[in-house]
Amino acid sequence: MLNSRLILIITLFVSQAATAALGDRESVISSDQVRLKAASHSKSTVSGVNVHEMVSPIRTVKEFVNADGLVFAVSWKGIKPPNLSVVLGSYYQEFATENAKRARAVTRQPTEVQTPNIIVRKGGHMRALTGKAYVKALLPAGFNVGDLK
Amino acid sequence: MKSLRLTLFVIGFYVSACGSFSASTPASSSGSSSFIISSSVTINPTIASTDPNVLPVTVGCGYANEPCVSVTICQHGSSTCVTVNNILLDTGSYGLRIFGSALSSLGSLPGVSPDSGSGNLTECQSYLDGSSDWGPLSAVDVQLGSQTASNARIQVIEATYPGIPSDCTNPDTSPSDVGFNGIIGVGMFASDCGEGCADTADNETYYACSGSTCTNVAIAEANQLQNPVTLLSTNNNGVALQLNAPTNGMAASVSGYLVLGIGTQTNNTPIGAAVLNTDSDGNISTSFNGSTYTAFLDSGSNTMNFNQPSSIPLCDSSSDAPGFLCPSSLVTLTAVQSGTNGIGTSITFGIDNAVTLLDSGDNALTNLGTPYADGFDWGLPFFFGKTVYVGFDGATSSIGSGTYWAY
Repeated sequence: MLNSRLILIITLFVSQAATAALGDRESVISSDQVRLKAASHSKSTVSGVNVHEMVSPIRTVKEFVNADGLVFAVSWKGIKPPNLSVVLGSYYQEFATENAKRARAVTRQPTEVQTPNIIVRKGGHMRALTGKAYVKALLPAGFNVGDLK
Repeated sequence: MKSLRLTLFVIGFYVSACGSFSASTPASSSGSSSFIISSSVTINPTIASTDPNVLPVTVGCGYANEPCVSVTICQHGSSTCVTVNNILLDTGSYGLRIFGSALSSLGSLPGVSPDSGSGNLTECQSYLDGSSDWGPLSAVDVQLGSQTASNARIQVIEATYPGIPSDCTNPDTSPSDVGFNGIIGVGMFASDCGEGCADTADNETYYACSGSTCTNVAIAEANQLQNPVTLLSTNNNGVALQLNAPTNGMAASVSGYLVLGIGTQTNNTPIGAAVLNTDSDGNISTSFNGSTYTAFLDSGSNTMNFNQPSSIPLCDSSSDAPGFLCPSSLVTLTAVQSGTNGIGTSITFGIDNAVTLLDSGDNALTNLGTPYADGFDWGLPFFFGKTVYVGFDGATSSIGSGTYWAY
């Protein structure tokens, strides 16, 4: 009984924890380690922007932060893509709307979905699926999208 | 009989006068090129469709640039068998997956237990476009050519199998949904998930299912779905895919062979192949149009997927080929593939108007392209007119130690 109550409390905490995602503040990124079941969380600088890297046995997710302290991009690589409703945050619905318009491809190809605000790309191959998403208006001036790896 | 010669430019590595490589001296992994010399490759003329280690391949069996083989599946230790055609031959994945509907004549198939606990081991395998294959694993005898992988695990694709998790997105539902009866992944790795699924139950890939309740489970690499070629007793160190090229870039279909093993028989002994070692993900790099991309060779993708120059437009969204590339006429391009061992080859390829190509009704199309800004996915057109070797992880052959691509 105690155990089940504890589990309930933990579940509520996890599901209600603030989620850093596209457009969110850097200060809440640490909650994503739980949401993405990542074993580690480290921070570095790439091309002048802060990059938070969360690693689990099945994938690596990176969140890129601009000078205003906002997450302007996420990228991933691994066995399975992350739950896009987590990493795309408030932009998920416009992605889902646009994605639903796409006829199912006859064959499996890399894909790119453009919405009014974001670009989502997916590719790679089994065991090393890759992808990225970024907010066009939040990209730092001069930042090379190719550095979102 | 098929003696196609093509010129390769080989960068930064020793090549003997006859065009064969010394693969025993790994170069630096920097990929820097120190010199360029040319070599030549001859397609192996000794392959016959009746060889025990050969599976005939047809390109264009269903949709454009779909390479297909047939495999025979038997109840383990039994003569109750079914031959399933239209199996997509995929160098970009690992393991054999067949729709349950294509195996129905075998009757009830045996499930597989998880490493610990109870229930049926079941998998959600994800693909690059967000689609998935969902269904239980089963242990059967798999016949490839005249060779048999006994009691081998396959995935039975069954989107309606109870307990599908919500994050198993866009699952393949039927052969008519996807254009094939199954997929045979003969890429360079043995297991389809690797260490990640062995290290944690939170792998979002393998499940133990009882009734409609499925729970994520960790599973040892050897018990995951296996590239079936790695389970054969011989000719198990890699494969070679040899395809004819469509005349003038277009044909109703073309034929070829999947040959099991590398350098183990006369029919799979490489002739002057360039060997490109890969990184731990199975990737090489490709330099194109001033940028360098992560790259791989992918017979399961039916186009050249790359970051096209801005001069090549997309096909109109209301055309017969939305999402494909549509130059007004054939454009010839060049890219350099480089292995982690410093071997590089210059590849010339073409992109033509996809509406024209697909409206022709032909299903073997050399110049079909799609956009991919983040990498270079060398699809089926790359394989036309070549013998491409896939060197399996940890296996050695006369031309190297896997993982490598060679051609």
